[in-house]
Amino acid sequence: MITTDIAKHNPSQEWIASLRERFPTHASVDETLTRKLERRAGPPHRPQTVDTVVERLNAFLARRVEGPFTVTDVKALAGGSSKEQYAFTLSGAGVANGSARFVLRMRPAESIVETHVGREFQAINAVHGKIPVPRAHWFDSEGAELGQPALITDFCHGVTTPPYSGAYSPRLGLPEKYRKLLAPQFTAHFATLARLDWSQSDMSFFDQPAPHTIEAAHASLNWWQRVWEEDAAQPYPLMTLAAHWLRKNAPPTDHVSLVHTDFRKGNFLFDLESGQITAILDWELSHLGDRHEDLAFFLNPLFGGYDENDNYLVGGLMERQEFLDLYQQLSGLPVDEKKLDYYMIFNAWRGVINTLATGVRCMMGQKTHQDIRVGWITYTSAINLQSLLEDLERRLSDAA
Amino acid sequence: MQPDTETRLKAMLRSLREVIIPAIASDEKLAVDQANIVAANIAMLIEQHDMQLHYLIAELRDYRAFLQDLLEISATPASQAVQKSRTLLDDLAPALDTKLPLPDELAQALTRVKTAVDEQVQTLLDGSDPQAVAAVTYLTFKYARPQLLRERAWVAKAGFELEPEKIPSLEELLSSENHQR
Repeated sequence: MITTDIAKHNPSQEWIASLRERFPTHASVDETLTRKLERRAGPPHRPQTVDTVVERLNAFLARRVEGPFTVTDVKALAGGSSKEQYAFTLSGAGVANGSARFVLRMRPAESIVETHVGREFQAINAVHGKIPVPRAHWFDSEGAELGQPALITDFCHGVTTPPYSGAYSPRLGLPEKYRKLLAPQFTAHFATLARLDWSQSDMSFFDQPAPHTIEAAHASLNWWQRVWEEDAAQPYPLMTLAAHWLRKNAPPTDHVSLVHTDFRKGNFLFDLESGQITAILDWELSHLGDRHEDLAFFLNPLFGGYDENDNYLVGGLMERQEFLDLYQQLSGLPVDEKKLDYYMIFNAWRGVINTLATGVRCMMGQKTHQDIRVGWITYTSAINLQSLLEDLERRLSDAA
Repeated sequence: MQPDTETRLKAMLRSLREVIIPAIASDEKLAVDQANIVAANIAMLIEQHDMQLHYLIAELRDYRAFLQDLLEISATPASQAVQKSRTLLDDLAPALDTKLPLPDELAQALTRVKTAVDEQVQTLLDGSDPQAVAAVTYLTFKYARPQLLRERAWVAKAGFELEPEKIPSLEELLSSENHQR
């Protein structure tokens, strides 16, 4: 049962404790969600001025960069829906090549996905050198120094989409030339992530689910069901039914992978000239779990599209079987269609939670620096609900 | 219907006031002037948007009374124009004599009913009767279908639908014939 909206707007300690007890999940996720609720009754988010950002950044870097340095060319970045982002140039003797461009990612008061910067830092550095990512240099987990929890990474060149003419559409596909160049690279990076040996990296912010158990599936379910309870303004019976089904049908994980959870077109940069992928971005939702969660996310109908010959392309990049065959070949790991089905339902359900629950909640409290963009993304909830309805109906009729 | 219209308008206003208008060069006088007028209009819409139906009905009721009073003093009560007006007044009666709930009352009632439905769904799913689980599943799907069609139609213009042309228009879905099922 969904708690009344007044209780959610000004959460009591008792209510927070009850959620933590009902939905045990990864320790650092629990910590992050708890802090979100403790801050909720606070005022609307007001971004820091650029002058304040620069002042705090200088003080932060002075404690970490050797010798004199300068911070210049600070620019707010567009793109992304959850974090405030600035690019800046850091110059000085203690900087590689004397000068480099960096990105400062800061968490607003609340966000369409509430995440832990330490996890993002560790995930990026776990894959660095194996998958193209901007190296993560420093983080401020509580915002004690930078005013907001924040992460500093390299700035990577590249684009998410080539220049287009005419009106913008979120369904804008890539031209064939780029699809042919990008799809094999993208799949190779996807496969590398699935088989990556994360055990050699510092993953202290991550809980490690036991393989061959349903721990990973349950930790993810509890994470997002808790968020639904925390944020949804109204109940939605189809979501209740889906949560019930997901809990009863959670599959065991055969191999524990680092799961990105947002691995798709739009979250990688590529060089416009060569078509080379320069960076996979947005590691904030990473966790240790089942690769099928990542695969199913990429297969979500929200990201698919038709090519020039009306062939349906998953993720807007390639045909489904071609993608899955290549992925299996490169990763050496099998794809289990039943698990894929399960995680298709899970991801549609989670997508609704991110948008219809958290996105709307952020807007109601004016908790981000871009409520207007968050609001636009909430319009995807109807598509995820439609997928949820169709996939659940099919699974239940198959079972009958 | 989430986010509701008021929440969407407030997000637009905030974006205009806190991000867009401060970023317009101060010598771009025409752009600054029009952006501020847009902001002021949105601020008004936040107050007015859900009262438009009630405003029209109030206006219609007053004009109906005006017409009734005029007909009382008509010098030519048998004329064709007066008869036509009396027919018009009769036609208006069913719509104008029904008390409409205020938007806030309607939204609160909807939340209460949704909560009650969700509690029933949860209780039946948690029970041990497989027939009840099958029945509640069937009903949840049955009522989700029209709900989702409305939700998709409501935001179809946002551009996320792969085949928006296959979604019926809101007008079609909300016509009195269709929603009085």
